[in-house]
Amino acid sequence: MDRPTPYIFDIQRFSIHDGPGIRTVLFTKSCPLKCKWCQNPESQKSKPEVGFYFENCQDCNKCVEICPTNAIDPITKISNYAACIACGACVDICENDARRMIGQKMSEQEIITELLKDIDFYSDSEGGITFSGGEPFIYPEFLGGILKELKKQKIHINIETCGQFDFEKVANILPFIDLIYFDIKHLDSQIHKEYTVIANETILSNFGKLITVFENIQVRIPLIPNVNDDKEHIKAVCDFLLKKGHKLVHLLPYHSMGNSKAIRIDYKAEIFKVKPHTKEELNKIKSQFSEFGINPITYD
Amino acid sequence: MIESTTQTNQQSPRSIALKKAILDAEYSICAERAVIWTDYFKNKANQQKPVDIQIAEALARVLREKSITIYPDELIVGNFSSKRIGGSIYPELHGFPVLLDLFKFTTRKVNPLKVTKQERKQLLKTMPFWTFRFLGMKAFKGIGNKIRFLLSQLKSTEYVINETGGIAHFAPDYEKLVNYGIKGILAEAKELQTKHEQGSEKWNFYESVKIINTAMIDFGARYSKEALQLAEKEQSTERKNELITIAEICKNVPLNPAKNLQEALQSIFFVQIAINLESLDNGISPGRLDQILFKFYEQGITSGELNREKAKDLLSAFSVKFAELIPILSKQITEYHSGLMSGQVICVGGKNADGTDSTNELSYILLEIMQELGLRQPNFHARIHNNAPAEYLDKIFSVLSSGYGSPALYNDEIIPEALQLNGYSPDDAGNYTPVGCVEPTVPGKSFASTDAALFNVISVLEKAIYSKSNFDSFESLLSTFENQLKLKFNSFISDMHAIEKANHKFHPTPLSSSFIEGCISSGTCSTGGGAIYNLSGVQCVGAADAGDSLYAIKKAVFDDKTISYSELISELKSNFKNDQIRKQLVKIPKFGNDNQGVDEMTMYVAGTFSKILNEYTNYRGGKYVTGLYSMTTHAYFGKITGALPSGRKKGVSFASGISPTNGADKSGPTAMFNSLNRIDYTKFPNGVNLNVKFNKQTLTGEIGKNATKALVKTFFKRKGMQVQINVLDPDVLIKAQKDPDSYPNILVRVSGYSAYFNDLTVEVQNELITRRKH
Ligand code: SF4
Ligand code: SF4
Repeated sequence: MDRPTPYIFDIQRFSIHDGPGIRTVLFTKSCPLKCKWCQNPESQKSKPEVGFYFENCQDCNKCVEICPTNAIDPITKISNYAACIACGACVDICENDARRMIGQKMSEQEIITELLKDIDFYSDSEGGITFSGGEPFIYPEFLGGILKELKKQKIHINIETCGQFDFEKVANILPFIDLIYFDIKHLDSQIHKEYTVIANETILSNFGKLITVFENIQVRIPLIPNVNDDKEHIKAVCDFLLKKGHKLVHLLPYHSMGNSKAIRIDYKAEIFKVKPHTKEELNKIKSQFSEFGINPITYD
Repeated sequence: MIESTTQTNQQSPRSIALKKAILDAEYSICAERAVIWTDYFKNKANQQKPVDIQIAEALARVLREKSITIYPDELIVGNFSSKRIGGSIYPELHGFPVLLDLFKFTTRKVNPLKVTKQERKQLLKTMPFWTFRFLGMKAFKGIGNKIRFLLSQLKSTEYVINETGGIAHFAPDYEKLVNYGIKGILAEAKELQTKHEQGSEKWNFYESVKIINTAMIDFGARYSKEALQLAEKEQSTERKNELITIAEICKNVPLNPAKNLQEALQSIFFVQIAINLESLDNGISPGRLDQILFKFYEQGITSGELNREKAKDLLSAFSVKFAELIPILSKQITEYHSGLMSGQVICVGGKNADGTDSTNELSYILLEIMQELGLRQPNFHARIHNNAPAEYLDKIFSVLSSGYGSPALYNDEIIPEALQLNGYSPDDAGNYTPVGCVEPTVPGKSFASTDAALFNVISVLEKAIYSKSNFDSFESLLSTFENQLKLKFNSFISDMHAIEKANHKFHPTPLSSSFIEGCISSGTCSTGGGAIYNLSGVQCVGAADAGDSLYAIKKAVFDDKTISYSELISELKSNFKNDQIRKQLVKIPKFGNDNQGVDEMTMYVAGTFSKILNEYTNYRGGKYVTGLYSMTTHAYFGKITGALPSGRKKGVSFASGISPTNGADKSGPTAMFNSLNRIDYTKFPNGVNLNVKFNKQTLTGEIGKNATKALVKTFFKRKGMQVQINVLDPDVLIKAQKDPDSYPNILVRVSGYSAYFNDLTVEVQNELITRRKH
């Protein structure tokens, strides 16, 4: 089978905030969007890369010496993505657990075995499996193969998507999916592009198509201070959702974790830093959503 | 009509006041028992008497002469010692070693205890008398043997025998007590005594039962008098009436059957005190109180004498009292059992004999009390089965989310089965209650000495590993290990036998025997095998470390051949001079990560231990059975043990109970439970302890609570045995930040998703820590 398969960035068991019940989350690498506030910056690129845990580094320089492509900066010890061929030599030689390979190839069978390990917990907690990323929907054939197997065991499937995908291909695998978390970042295409590197037309049109054929969609908005939290934009979002017949939105308050993770793969990573919303601000934002006819749900 | 279970009452002002008094009290040593006991035994005339009579008379004197106090606000009265929170010295049992510590108690780092100058003096005076008379000395013949045993227990490397402090750990037949009273026991003993010749062994036993039970009646009467005197002086009419009621109750019980809930609780508490004063090896457990007391609750509600609130107030006032008792242990023994645990279990819920659910309103009231009190004692446990009501589980998990780690959970789908495989009848097995820490026993029928000893299985593994410079196969290492285990058991069991025999010969327990079925009918003390069930429990400590070590040897030396056996030995001896080798060993999978190979190795170690031990019979005619809990001996044994093939360095604590080694369960709780379900718990009828730590935030929210509930549900459906859920507070996050290796699994909520605390940068960690404090 030579369908395009993703590198697996992580498989996280006992995840309880990525859909109902106890879940295992499969994180695939590669995402068409590059949000400045991304929570998982190490999942954006499609190839494996080396994460650097600077707090463990003892400055022995063994990694620098062994790297066949001179990809490691001798001062910062960060691997240069363009030069790195993901051979893993530096990870193996590091004695201090300061380097980890992000992204590995796994066979379909290996993935399924791993995902089924917690099947008893899924059934007792009414949980299941969540596919996240990166963007899982850019691998519809790969997903389809795995989902078909998982569905034999009647496992609840959730997909977390940024909305940027080929709708025709994804439509084929919708029957295997129970729930979709659909992220909406900004309704203004220009601003969308500025913060995520791509325009929003495909995303919005995919949402429109999806909602007519798929029932269980949860719209999620990462609330970014000074980007998409103004009243005008909130109204635009609400109008858009109402027009599509959707009345609920899950708000994800901004958190600075993505940045601190970004420096593990690129010390020159552009630091996106805004002050997180206060409780009062969040309440105000929530009441604005309500005012415009959308029921907002937040966690914490 | 019984009121609905969903009703949650506020904690009563009385309960709050009583709890505060406990929290404010200092931990002290009380000299009274030791002084009275010594005085009795120094008497030449007493020394001539049969030993059963001696113990009964000495304990009777303690009950008649010890100081008694009724504290403000109390509804259930009776004091274990002369201190609000105190413990007695049992010079004839732990004797000399504990007295040697007299000057260290106040200043020692772990569990310091207060002792007044005057009491210290009194205690010092008892010392010379007991030097050669305490149980550890009497158990062994010949001075060499005595000293060998004493030294081995003072700096124990292989096993710790708790029975040198007496045999206990049982759930007395409190059902019989509340239904028939002491009167019933006396009548039985009197009648049976007539069948035996005066002065015969059995006649003496019955005589001792009569002596001590008569003293029990007088013990109650002393409190009755005290309550009346206080009532006379009392200004508040409300309290005056309470004291008058107490006076009447203490006149009636423990002598007579209890007439109502308060009498039943009072009767139980008097006996609870007295049994604790009889012998040291505590773990005296009231057990399934919701079952024993429900009929009194029902009667009270129907007659209108009682309402839910009043019942809860009584049960709360009763429960608080258990925190007033602490065991006094020497510094050395404190290393084995730190935390001042007296092991008094109260258990709720479970299946009835016919498979139906047994929870009732009292189960719910007791769960509320656990949450409100949050004290060290009593040790609250809850039984769970596959068809337990959702409401009951909900209540349990909301109690757990308050962070006290209570109740510990027990699985009815496996424990009765494990007990039946070890000789218990199906009905009795179904009526089990845990006692002490985690040990399932049958109330009123088991004298199972569940905490008889803790055995360091690593000491045997080390012997096997170092016995040869090389092994031609992994299997031959395993068979060496098995042979070494058999050898060690031979000498261990003979020590055990000597101690159990000495208990029978020198420290029979006529009062305990009065509340264990079989003893009175057969005229045999519980220490002599009079009970229906007579097991002895030995804990296998270090099973996970042993499993991890064997698996590492198998992988590195025999399968992958990355390290030679001699290289391994020299690394162990040098505590890993070559850190590379250690790292390599550490990377080999460890128990608790859902890796079948290593999980099965842990089961192999514990299972082999159980199989070999099971072949021995104890002094009382019962089987030896295995438990997998460790008190704090895993830390102690770890401290004195060198490097292990698992990559564990010298001195590091072993894994506690059946939990994976600290920090090894890197794959999260589901993986850990999958590993734990690879253990066949029917092999460990003496109980296991699994400590699972959760971050407070994980458990408090509705989502986290449901997830935790589901984890336990799955674990129990697949026949897990026991689990204790620990909720970590924010301070722990700070520790986790400083020492991440010891806290690998703290799941934190960042924003709409979870992450492991260690995977976050300091910056985000700090943010979480500060956020949590609000
Ligand atoms: S090998 Fe590891 S410790 Fe050495 S410089 Fe590289 S990252 Fe740092
Ligand atoms: S993975 Fe290989 S190519 Fe990439 S930085 Fe490390 S050693 Fe160099």
